[in-house]
Amino acid sequence: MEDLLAFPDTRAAVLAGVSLRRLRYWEETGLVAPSIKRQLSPGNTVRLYSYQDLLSLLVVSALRIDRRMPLQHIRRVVEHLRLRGYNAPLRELKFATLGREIYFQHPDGSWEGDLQPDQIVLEETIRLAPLRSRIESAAKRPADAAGHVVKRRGVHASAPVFVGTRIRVSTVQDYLRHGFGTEAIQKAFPDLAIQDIEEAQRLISAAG
Amino acid sequence: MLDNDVDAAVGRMLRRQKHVCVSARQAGLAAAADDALTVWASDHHAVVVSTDQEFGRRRWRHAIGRHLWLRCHDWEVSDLLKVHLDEVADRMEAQSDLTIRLSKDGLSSSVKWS
Repeated sequence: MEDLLAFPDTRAAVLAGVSLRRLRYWEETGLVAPSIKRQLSPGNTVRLYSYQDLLSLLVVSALRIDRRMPLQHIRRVVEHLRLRGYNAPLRELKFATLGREIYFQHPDGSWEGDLQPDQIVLEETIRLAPLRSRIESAAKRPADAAGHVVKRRGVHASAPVFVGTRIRVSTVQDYLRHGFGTEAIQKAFPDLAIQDIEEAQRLISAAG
Repeated sequence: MLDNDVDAAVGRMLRRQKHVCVSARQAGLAAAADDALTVWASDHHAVVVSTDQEFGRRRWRHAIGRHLWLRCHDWEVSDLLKVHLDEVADRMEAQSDLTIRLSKDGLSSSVKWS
């Protein structure tokens, strides 16, 4: 499912721990751009970051925010690697930092920057496995979202939906009014927790 | 591409009929805006399947990619779609920007917006 996954820019920014403005800047400067971008109207451009885009984004975020590497330095390294034939160097290569320098490992195992393998310690390399886990976790509904309702612009005409889903409260209420039980509703909408269905029932009762 | 708000029975039925079916959750778009689903589906040459009236109306007025708007009780959607599936698939294959509305009264198609 990796190939199918894509996050909107707002979600990608949260995942990378940066502002939307910074994300847009990284896109404009060619550092990490969304694979899917489409302008639907003059004020409405949809940007979707693929799984691979998100991985690149998290590597930049690790270099820029966690390691405090200057953005210009990151961009120079990325440009250099692209010129050397790497289409997506941020996720194709392993990166490490020592002091203010960025080093990278080629597929043959050699490190660029005249470093010997024993000079790179594990803590200094940016490992992709935890970054992949972060993306996969972010695609799941947060456990603490259950039972909470929100209205969001652009989602089902701002109708109340359950947090972390696009499932309208009114949809679940329809099922409840027609006699469907919790189990049947969860089978219809596997994203829903029991607390969500209880909340839909509570809102029916509260409305009289 | 099944909207998060569509009964999972629709996905099961479509897969039994040998259609490739992806949920909004699997695409990472379970909490995304309507337009994000539209753009994702268009990019993947997929059909958005949704029951939401407002979403359906907007795509009806301005078709972007392929959108199937189902209008009946959510728990009846799977059976209704199964009856009309071949016709829906034929029409969808014929046009790249098209919204089809399916209800118990049958199928109707939007005119391509330009």
